Amino acid sequence: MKQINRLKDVGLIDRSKPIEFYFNGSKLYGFKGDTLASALLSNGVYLTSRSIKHHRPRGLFTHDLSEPNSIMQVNVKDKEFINVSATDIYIYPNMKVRNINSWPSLEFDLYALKRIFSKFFQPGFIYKTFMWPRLLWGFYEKLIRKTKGFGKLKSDDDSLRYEKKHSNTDILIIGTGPSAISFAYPALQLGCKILMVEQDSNVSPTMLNIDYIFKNNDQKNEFIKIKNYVLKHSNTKILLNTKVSSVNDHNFSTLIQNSTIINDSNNIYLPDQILWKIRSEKIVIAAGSVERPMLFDNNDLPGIMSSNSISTYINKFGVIPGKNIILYTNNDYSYQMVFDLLQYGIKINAVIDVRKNIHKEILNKLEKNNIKIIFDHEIIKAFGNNCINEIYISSINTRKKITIKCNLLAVSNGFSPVNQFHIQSGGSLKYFDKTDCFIPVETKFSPLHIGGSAGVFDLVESIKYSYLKAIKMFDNQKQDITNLIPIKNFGSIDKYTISKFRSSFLSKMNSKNVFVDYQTDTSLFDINYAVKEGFVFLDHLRRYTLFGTGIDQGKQSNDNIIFLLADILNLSPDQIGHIKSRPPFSSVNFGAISGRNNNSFFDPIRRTSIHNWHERNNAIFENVGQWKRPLYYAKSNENMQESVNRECLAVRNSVGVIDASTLGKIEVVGPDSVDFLNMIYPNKFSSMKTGKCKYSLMLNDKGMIFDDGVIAKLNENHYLIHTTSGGATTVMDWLEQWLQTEWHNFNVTLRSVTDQWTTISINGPKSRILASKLFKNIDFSNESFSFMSYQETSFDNIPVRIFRVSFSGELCFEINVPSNYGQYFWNKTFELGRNLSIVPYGTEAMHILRAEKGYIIVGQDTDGSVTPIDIGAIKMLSKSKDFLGKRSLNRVFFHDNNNRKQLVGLIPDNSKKIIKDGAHIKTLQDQILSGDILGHVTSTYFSPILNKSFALGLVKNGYSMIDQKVLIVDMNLNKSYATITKPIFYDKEGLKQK
Amino acid sequence: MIKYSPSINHINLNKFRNNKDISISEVYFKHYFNIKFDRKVMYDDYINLEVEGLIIPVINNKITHYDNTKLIWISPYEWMCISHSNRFQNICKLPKYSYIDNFKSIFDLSSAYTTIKLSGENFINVLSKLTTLDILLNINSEYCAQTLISNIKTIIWTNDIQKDIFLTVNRSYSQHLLETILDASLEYI
Repeated sequence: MKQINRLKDVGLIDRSKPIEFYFNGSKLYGFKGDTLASALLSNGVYLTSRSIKHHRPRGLFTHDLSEPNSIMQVNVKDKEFINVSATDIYIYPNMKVRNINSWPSLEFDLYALKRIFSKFFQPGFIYKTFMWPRLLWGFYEKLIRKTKGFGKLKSDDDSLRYEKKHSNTDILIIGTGPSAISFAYPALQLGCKILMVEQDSNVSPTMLNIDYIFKNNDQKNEFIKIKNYVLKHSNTKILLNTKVSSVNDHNFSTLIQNSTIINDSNNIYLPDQILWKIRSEKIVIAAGSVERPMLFDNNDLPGIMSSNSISTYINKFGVIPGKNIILYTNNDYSYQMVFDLLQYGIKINAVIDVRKNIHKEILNKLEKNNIKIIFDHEIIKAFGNNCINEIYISSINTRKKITIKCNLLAVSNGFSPVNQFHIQSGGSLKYFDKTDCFIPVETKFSPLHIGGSAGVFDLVESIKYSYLKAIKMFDNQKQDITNLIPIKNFGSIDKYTISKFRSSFLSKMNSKNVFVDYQTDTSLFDINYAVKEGFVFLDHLRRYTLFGTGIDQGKQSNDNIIFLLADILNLSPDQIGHIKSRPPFSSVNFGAISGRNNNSFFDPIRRTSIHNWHERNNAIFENVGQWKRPLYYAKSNENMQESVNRECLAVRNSVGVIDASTLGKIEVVGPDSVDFLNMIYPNKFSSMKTGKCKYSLMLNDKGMIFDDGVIAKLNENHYLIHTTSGGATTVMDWLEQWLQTEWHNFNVTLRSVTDQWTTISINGPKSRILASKLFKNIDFSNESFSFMSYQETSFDNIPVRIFRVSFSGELCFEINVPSNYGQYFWNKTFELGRNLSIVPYGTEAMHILRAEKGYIIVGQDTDGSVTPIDIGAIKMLSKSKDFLGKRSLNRVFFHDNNNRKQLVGLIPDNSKKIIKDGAHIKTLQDQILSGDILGHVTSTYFSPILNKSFALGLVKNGYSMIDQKVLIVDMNLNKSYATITKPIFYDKEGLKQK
Repeated sequence: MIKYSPSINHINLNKFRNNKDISISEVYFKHYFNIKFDRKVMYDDYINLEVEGLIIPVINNKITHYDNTKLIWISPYEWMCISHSNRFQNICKLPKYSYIDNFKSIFDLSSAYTTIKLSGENFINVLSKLTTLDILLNINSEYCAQTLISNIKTIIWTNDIQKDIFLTVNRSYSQHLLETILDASLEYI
């Protein structure tokens, strides 16, 4: 097992568990705990990818989420991870990894030939070149997409299991580094609940080499004491392997846990990824900073890495990513890498520092270890094919140039605080010259920033700073801070420095090989070119060159570009502004966003008490609101139309039963119930007697129909109103709204009882016989139980409400029983109805039966612009009382028949053909695509009892067009002809239902 | 023939019965009553209202219980009485009490609701997947709340949050809610 770059006994990996994995088909090895990046480096793999535009060879630059180059497509078992950074995924046995964006192989990439024509590939090249001829864009697009872009999505279903979780906490701390620990220390003493989020698999990943961080043992011991206190406290909760996706207003944030951890346990139900939704009193950002790359020619070659990433690879994984090592820096902080290497006996070849001097302590250490330091020099160019092998440096002062061999170049161009969360939550930034970075401008409501995120890059200093910031926050909150245990031994701090370095070479070079954003292949030339074209505003420049739009969102490139633009335009970085970072900070799978809300859990499903019976009897269901209702009951020898015909004829000739439990039912109780109903409905309820029912439309304040149903007077001051199945909730809200706002003086209470009652509607000429069998104590004759009346009784000691109403046009009894006994009563009904050829019927048959009678379905035959006048229900509008919508209906326009669409019937010329729903209705003189549209078809069916098709429609001035022929044009532009009739086709006198 | 038919499919619950990690069961209550009183009378004139030995909670989000009967605070003038005892059918006769002649209404909703009980070590973890309500932060013993669980309006109530929690939901949604809870619980089985 070759591990050419692995140090012995260093790091947190488990060397007892070697892991075999494949990179582009080659078998490689690593250890449990290795990221893909560390495993590749340990095997000596430096070339990991190709750049997106120019297909230049690229290697690992960082160790964390800011990695711009090594984007992979990973398969483990049946799970696939797309566009995942090699630094962000651990290795697993038999993991198969492919780089993206190369062909036929990573080492020999034919697409790299594009570089021959690279002088043509300036920003905006595609838009300028391929916009004509327009018809060929589809062809170009396929070619362009083949040579560009990131990973490939699978075409089949996502195999990952996602979960969403909610949590509340007092303080959410993003990060678990020294500043986070230090902030949590006083907070926990004051009783706060703390949630700490760490993207790494270890707490405080920056503190691995603790002996070299602290100035003395007292500091170290104090920090260890604080850390133990915080991590072991019962009020501390830590989420490891968790990335912050967004920080929003009102301290709401979203986190994504285990986004690249593979569930390799036997429990297949463990979620692969969890989207956390956190609501907290305060958010503290201790997410550190991102080290920026240096700008020089070929600065993107494999083997060029950020200095603190090299430290992490050594300390955490025991991996040294190269041999001849050189550090190129502008700050004191990056020297930590040199000392980390020294700890393991590795001496770097040289340090190239752009400054003229450095911190005395560092200088002493370097001299003590005979490490060569070259001050006041900068790198002009790097050389190498698939890995760096040489650099060309120049004195900043004298411009004298020399060449140095190396195969690992550590670079550090200062640090960019992680301020994206601050911007996401609406905050702004200010440029600080001293630390050469943008610092968040905090307000009372914004998140607090500590440590690197606040521009405090020294770990020791950040411990002191964070503690003081916490104390200040609690003091402002008027909390008692007098008894807090202070942090000791963190007195005065001798500060490190960062030089604001802008290479004078850059302005002269204008090179296409000085990359300012690795992931989008944006070069110095591109920036200059875009500026020349007038894109001088940062956001314009970003959209034109695409910098910062990759998967890494330009975490380490954005600030470099701002500084560059400031230099080009001779402005300060503050005048240039900053990037408006938007969520997500790190990539999130769509699956994680949807969580459990997909497939059968997408929307709640409501089932009636008889649902299981319907399922057992082959019901085909349709969605009505959230309800599942039987559309029809399928039989093996029938198609849908045949089943529906059978059900319709059973109702017309014998007896059919439908589960109508989904109808909305609202009880209205109180001494002012009549006044309330009089205002809600256009009919008059004052003279309604107990035990009677009334059909009415419900109008909105504009006079339009928005629901309908039967209202029954159950008792004095006690009414039951029925609504449509889908409209029940809306109606309840509507009634409550009026009751609580306009008519709050009414002593009325409303209560939805939809779930309480199962409604079984018995329809057909034999329904009276069946009802009599069910309720022997009731006289169901017309005289005793007339149409539109109501009676209460019981069945086997179960309370029963019977309404004699009809939506089928047949003799009908709607029987309501408490839902707990719905199934029992349904079974009894079928048991007693067996000799009467009883048949269950679904909503499709119900629709045909009601349409034959011209009964409307609100929302199908009406569309929110239909008034009672339009459907011929003008008599329903009381003249002697006020009601909702009355004033609107008095407008002349609503009574102008010539301009209103009216509900009419339609008989197609071809009596066997069903007109399409929504088809347009035109005059015979009109053509398919020209002329006025008179209206449209709203309901259309084949009637088995009439043995012909028919339809309902809304037609302009329809009442005056009875018996006229019209042209029908459907959505496929097929035409047919029909005759307009009155909207009633069966039992025109209404004798059957009475 | 059994008259009562449960609203949820009990076969699904087999492996969740008495499971120490997550236990899910339906709790049958014979009676569910929705009670509304005049708010002014409640808060101005009476501190404690007692019906059939049961104290009506006037503090928000509180429940009171006696034997198999619970009174759950729904809003400042609305309560839910959940009971398995016939004795409390008398609650329907509230108007007979002199001090509540300003009552608004009592609705018998005994068939409209289903109650699901969750217990075991992970029931709070399961709920955290389905609701934004922070159970531990907001719910104490003898507490109740109305919230959305998996987008379904649910009354959450508990006698002792350390032991178990009850979800009272409209009957028509109960099977869907149960299936959602079962799916969220699978990782703990």
